[in-house]
Amino acid sequence: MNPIQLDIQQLRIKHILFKSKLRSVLYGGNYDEIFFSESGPVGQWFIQTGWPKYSSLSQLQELHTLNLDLNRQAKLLITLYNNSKIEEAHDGLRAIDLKSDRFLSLLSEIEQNPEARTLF
Amino acid sequence: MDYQKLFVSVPEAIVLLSPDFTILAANDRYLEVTMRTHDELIGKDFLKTFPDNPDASESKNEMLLRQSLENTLRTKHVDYLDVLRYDIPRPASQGGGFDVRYWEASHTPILDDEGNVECLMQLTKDVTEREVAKLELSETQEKFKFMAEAMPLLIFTTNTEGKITYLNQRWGKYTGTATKELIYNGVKQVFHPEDAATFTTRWADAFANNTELQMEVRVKASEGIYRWHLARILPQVDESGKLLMWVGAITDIHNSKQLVEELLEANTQMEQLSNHVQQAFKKVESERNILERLIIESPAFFCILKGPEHTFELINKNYQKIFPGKELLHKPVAKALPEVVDQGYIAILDKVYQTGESYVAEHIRIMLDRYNTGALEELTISFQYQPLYDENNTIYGILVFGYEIPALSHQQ
Repeated sequence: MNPIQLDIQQLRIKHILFKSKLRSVLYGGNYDEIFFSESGPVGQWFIQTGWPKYSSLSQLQELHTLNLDLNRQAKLLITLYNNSKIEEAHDGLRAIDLKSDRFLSLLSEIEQNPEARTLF
Repeated sequence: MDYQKLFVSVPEAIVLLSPDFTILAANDRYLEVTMRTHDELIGKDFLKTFPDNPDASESKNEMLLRQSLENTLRTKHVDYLDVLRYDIPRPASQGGGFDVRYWEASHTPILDDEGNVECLMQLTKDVTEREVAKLELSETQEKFKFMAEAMPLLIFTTNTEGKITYLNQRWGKYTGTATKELIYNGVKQVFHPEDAATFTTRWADAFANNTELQMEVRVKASEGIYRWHLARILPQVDESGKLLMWVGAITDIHNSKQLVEELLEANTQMEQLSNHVQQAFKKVESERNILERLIIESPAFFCILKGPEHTFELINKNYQKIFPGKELLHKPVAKALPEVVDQGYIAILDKVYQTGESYVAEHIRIMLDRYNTGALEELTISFQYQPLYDENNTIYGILVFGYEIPALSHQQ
């Protein structure tokens, strides 16, 4: 496994963890405010890995915007859940899934992008 | 006062019968609701004029009508008929057949001076519209009940006071508690005590404000275990916003909840693992960099030869210094340094590669074409060939390590 694959895999795992964590909160699990902020695992990836190593990639900005969007939407669903709009919050996961599909397909794009390989 | 005129125009349907049930008189309203003309009725046998609808078994009320009339004759008291279906034959001019009708009627005896029944007055009311609506409502209720029983949910309804009016059978099956008991004591008795307390507060709030209630509750199954459910209770209001009833639907979300928790745990561990991998990778990478720098900057000469052809894979600065005029990297030794083949070094390398035995040479004189000019120069060197093993313990190359003995000491 080369360093890019390793970095991208990390982001993929962190993103999936984000979805898992959100689902868990919407099913009564613990809410962790930091997790759903820029200081959460995905946000940290951008600070420590994404911007320093891959800022020249065209997909990185879109990934970052998507992630901000996902965080915002997650907070919205959590607010719905906390206001006893449980079914509405569960329904909202569909929109998260759509954005997540885009997020993951961007990651695959980067992995297969020869431009990214020449960064090293 | 013209009583005849009054009788004709009273807004209630009235027909007068003789004690043998011959029609004596009928007012306008009566003619209207029965779709008959004056001439079609007067002097006719009342019961024959309105026969049963032969196509509808429910329309068998001629008998009830006769009974009521006979009752009135006998008791000389008003006799009330329950709502009865009595279909009215439609005149041929309106397509014939029967018109489905529901009626309410009373029979009042009109007595002469001796107290004998002189005639009978039937006061009748067409209540078809009301009865059809009632029938439709009961059909709707049947449909609701059927749906409620068919759905994989615990369903209940309460009246406007919050008292349970209906529980579907799933309650009994799931909780093992008789629905009668649940209706009497409330469904809260099968909730987890912690949730029951929250539920009481939340329900009081929703009830006071006519707002929807959603909350997660643990409901006790007949096996004695609690499973997580999502309860949703909605107020049903009419067009004017008036509360009609409450409908509750409770969905089992235990499996989903469990799955979500398990996934979160697995993914949390996965993330930790991937962080470890990343750290380990970084550590290996930095150690590799240190080693590489050590080798490259070393005062001795180093190179790594890879594969059975002994291809130059890595050359440090001092090694390259021996051959200032030669490109060595990625070339097999025999091609890069053809002058050493006849001096026997390839054979030695082959042996190390095949046997794994190291080779040590001290103060060896070697002839080299250092500047790629074809002119051979003599150097005195000490060196070692060390086999390199991969993770499967298979030799993949040879590490060459050595130093040059300066000409001065050589001369000494």
